[in-house]
Amino acid sequence: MIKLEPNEEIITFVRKHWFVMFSEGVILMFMAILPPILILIANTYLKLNITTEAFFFALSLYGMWLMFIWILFFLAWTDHYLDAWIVTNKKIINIDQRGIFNRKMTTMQLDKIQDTSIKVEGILATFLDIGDLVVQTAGQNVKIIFKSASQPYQKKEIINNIQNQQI
Amino acid sequence: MEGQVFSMMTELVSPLFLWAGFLLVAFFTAIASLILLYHWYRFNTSRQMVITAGIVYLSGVIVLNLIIIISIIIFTVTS
Repeated sequence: MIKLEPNEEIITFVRKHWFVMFSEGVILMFMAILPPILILIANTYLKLNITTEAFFFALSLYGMWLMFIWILFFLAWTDHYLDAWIVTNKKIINIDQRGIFNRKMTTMQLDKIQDTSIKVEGILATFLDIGDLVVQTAGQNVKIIFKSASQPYQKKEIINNIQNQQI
Repeated sequence: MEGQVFSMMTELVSPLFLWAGFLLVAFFTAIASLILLYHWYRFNTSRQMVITAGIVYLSGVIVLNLIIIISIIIFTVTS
């Protein structure tokens, strides 16, 4: 859990859009259903003599394959879930989770933010409300980018509103 | 001839091979589960979300382990 300062409260979270996780899920789903499809095709054309023994042998191997996919899915979900921006009434905490063991955390005070911008590119991104959220601080020319953020317009609005309240 | 290939393959495989495979998978699953649960516990932003994810994840692991164990037991009995 993130430790906050006294009088600091979490306003919102910026996370990657669900479609990013959905795309990874579709690939994993395809990997999961591929073995039975291949066996069905092989059975149709090669007339495999699948006995009870052979069926349970294949099922045990398929179970192991599914276990591998299940773990991969939750590794992807963990990456998706832990990669976030936590917007509080005082700062933005940028958590950059890359895989499981690479984690970078940077903090940006709201009064130091000079510019907030968004970049929405493409038809899918426009209709699904996906975009890159870019925050730039004054002076140091430090820029933090959150790629494929969910509801970028709304999040930009929230950050601007908190910033205006601070001023 | 083609039809016999699949059953010939299962005849060549000893149940011991499958049990060894299962133990290997169980070992790596246990390590992966510990890593995942540690990350969720340490870096979570919502306890409710993590509890739900943990229950779903562990339920899936239990179900898949049962499928593997039952399949290997039936394979051992029938072979």
